[in-house]
Amino acid sequence: MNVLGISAFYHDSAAALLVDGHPVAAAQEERFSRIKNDASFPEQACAFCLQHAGITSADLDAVVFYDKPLVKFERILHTFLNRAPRGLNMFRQAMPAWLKQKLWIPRMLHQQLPGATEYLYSSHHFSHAASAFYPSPFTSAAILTVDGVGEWSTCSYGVGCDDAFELHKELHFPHSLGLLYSSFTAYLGFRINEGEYKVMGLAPYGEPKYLDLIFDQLVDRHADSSFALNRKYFGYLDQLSMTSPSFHALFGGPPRQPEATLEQRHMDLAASIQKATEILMLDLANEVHRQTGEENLCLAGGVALNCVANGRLLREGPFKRIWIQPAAGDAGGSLGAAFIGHLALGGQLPHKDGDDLMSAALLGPDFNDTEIIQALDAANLDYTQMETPTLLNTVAAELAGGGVVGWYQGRMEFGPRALGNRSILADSRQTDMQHTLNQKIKFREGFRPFAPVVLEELATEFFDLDVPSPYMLLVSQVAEQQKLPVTDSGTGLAMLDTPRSTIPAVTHVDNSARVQTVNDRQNPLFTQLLKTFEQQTGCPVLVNTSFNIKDEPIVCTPQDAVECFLKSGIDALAIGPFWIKECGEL
Amino acid sequence: MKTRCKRFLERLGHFQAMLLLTVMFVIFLTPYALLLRLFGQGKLPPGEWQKVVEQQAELSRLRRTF
Repeated sequence: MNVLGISAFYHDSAAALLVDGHPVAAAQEERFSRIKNDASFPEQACAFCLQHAGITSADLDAVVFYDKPLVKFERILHTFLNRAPRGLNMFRQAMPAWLKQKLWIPRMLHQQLPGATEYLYSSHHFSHAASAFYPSPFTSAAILTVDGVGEWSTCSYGVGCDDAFELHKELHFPHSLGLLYSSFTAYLGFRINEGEYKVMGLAPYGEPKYLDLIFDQLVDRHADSSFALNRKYFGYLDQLSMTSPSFHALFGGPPRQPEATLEQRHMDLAASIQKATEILMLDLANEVHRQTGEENLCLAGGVALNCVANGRLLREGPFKRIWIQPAAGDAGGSLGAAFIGHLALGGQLPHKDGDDLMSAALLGPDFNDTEIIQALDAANLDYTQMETPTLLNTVAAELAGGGVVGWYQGRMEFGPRALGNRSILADSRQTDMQHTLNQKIKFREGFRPFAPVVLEELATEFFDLDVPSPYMLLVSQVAEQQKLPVTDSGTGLAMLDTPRSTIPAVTHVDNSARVQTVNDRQNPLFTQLLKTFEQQTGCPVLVNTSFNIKDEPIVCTPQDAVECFLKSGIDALAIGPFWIKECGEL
Repeated sequence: MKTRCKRFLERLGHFQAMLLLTVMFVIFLTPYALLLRLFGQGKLPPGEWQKVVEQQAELSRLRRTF
């Protein structure tokens, strides 16, 4: 049975294909269109999925859209009715897209993917819940989904068992943890649905001085872990901004302009909303545990990409085991929708033998040597073809010598993280590597931290993490034995200048790290590279950051990789079996 | 010239659309909203847990766009 799931028209559109219940292909449209967070219909992602399986749309048993467009439209109209006569500008901005496009999704599905047997519509949080539970390694688990907003729901929980799940309760718009976080993201001068990572990365530079204010004025927490937002402070109901003038007055000034200097106040605000989010997530997890009694938790929704909160859930929460959908945002909704369609049509889930069904999230396209050679020749690059052991030794030696290497191998990752197939790699022991990568390679804000990748079996030597973290969705502290004594490291961005551990390039200013663990089973080549690096240096930890530069999606094709290599200051490129060293900048 | 005409028509179309939406908002939506409010209707949901009534596993529900 072939079922194609689709998410589109909000942000990060994507397609995912299940064949007999196995996810065989999935990708975000942005990787093909090269428009970051592309929300348009995922035409190219659909084409890739079908091509990968060698089928056409007529071979599909179902096309499943990830939400119910008319219910979403009802929520939007209802909100306008509630706010009128305010909200005229927002009405004028929102309606054209609905009238021209979003109300005609069924027609669009029939046109773009003709001949499928069924065209189905899941709902937003059911799609998230399905993406969290069905591919997880658990046969029984509690499910928690938290994001900005779907149709009405902003957060939901329930229980999954074998081939079915039920959602029990949900919180409705406008009371949304995702929108609360996004409001602060916008207020701090970052783009919503994209800058949330930056807020999370900025938080450790500040103190949560505004936490009490957030819980006194903005968020009313209830005993059952539900919460209400004070609408007076938010603009997203009827204005073109996320926050209202009352919000600005409460936090001491207008929103920060995108390129303005980051002040200590901004860092304190980031720390405060991050702390508030962690507390609310812990509240929710406790309530879900009380209500369900389950030992396992499956998480999805955009807020589940907050890996600092995830780390706290794991350490301080009531659940023994946690699994987070690697494409936890809306892109992953396509996968959940496909699972829902597959099961509704009478399909069964594949047997889970302790592993999840995500194939290490390596569900995107791959390219053969001929295609890679074409891209290299087109760019007039000198390359050397190597056997795998030689390539691994060469890459490891380059990294050990302080070089930055573009690592492009196999199938592209599904979800926001580069997990070792479309990555930029560097030596985690180099003190100035964080600065070099931010300023010279990726051209992004200097405060942003980098994530480590470590051999799974050696993770506990370097991090306080006793579970695998294959999808880089858990933040933990660097292990005590790796920490260096620090007397006074200053405040704010000055904290960056102090080395804090034996792996300073991946140790954030609060000694935390967003860890990825790898093993031979999930990504053998990448694991071999880490082993080779360890043999050469004694250190099994590398910096792993996505293969892209600021404001661009992660590379997809060999052409994208070559282009990014030429535009950035990457020292060398390992693409398939080919090695390219230093080409100079364009 | 052709491009200019096209751009002019696009802007005209955009202006007409915005005008139409403004009229809709002011003439229809706002009075209806005020009427609803007068009778205590049209409120947004409170920040409390709501029971999930419709599960999505059934094919008949999945076939609906609402």
